[in-house]
Amino acid sequence: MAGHKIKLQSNDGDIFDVEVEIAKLSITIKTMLEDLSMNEEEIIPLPNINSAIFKKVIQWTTHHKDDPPLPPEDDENREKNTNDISSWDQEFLKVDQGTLFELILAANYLDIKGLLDVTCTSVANMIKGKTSEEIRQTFNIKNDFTPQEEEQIKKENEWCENK
Amino acid sequence: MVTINSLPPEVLTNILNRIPILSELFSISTTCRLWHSVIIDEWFLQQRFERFKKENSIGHWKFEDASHIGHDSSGYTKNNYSIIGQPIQSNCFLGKSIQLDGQSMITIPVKDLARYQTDYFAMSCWIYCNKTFSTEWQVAVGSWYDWKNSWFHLGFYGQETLHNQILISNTHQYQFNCHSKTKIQTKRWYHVVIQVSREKQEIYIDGKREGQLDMTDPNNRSEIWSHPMSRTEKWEDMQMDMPHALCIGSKSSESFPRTFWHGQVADVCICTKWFHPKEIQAIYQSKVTIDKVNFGKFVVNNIIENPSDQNEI
Repeated sequence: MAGHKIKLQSNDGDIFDVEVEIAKLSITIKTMLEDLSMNEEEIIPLPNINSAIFKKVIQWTTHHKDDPPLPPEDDENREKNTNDISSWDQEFLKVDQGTLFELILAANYLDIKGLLDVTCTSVANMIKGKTSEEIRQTFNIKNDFTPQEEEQIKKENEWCENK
Repeated sequence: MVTINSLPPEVLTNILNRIPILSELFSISTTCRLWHSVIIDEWFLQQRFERFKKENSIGHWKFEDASHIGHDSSGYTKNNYSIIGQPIQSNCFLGKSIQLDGQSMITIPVKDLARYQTDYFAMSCWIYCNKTFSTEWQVAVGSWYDWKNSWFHLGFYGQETLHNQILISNTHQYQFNCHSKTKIQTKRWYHVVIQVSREKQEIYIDGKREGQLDMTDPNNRSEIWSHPMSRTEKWEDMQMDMPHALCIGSKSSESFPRTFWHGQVADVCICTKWFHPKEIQAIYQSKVTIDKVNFGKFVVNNIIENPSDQNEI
């Protein structure tokens, strides 16, 4: 029923009233409501998501609630452009790295494919075109190869690029 | 704080799966041990290769059904084809091939198929020649229709090396021939890949790149069939021809001479992206139809199990 709401609780105790239609964009919540026969009056805990991130998730799902289902893979639609992020999503994803990764974790836990797709694509776009050293700097990753491993990896890469 | 490397492995895999260029994936595998373990992995690389084929293949002819010899297993051309002569199914090391007697061909109409109307594509096939002639063209696969839809054709003339031809500009008809180093011998299978863009052509024979041609310079053309460009025209504005029909066993069902192939053709696959050189090596060395190539295993075997074999694979 349109406008009908359920209560969802973040891991820091905040309770959110969310329209069922929007909440069910999460396959995890949809399963809880339908397969596990959870009472819609009950407060559903979300132990892996804090309030700040859950607000962002609600913002995203509210904006995308009327999106058509993902298009079928027909003949003219086989080739997907993985760079495509709508301008609204680009604006939505102007967040710090920590928030972006927490959004990914939330999308993964809640099983919201559209949100997981767009957040993972956003990170992939941050990787594209960078050298491994630039990637380490961007994401604060430690080069944990030993000198011997580095030598081996260098040879591997030479093999990969050897035409 | 959550970092990229603290994400669950399946999520990091999901992210790295979105890097479309194989050489870039190889490069970023040197970021850290975790990324290396995700990327240089048989399953990951094979999934990527499967996705590459699924998303980019617009035609795959394995000739497995004798009663529907022009069946396209990619499903894109919807089995819409016609036959001239009597192309027949034959056996070969890949399984099945098509036997062409010098008077036979298959024509697949592609003029109304949007994904064929591209100047960026690759074609992989296996060819076997029964006989050669001193003054005759033989084309294994082509799409060369009435000088306005001359997309490509792969073949050879007399004692020339195997090469691919493309045409740029309907008005001026500048032909670019990208030659391999291979003179076709009879009774021998060759694996051939051509890769074409508006700017460049490449030809690979048996897994090795034997020729490439820069087409950003009009002076690299082999022929001008109409009239040269004027000084006021810009070369970069000239477009490649788009295809009308794809032909297996000849360059065209319309023009004469038809340049029929005498021999066998097998595992013809057309993609709207270029293959990475290692993918081409894998296809050749695996000696199976493209759909059965295990690219992940090929990479892992070569760089993990035989780390000292850097040059010979």
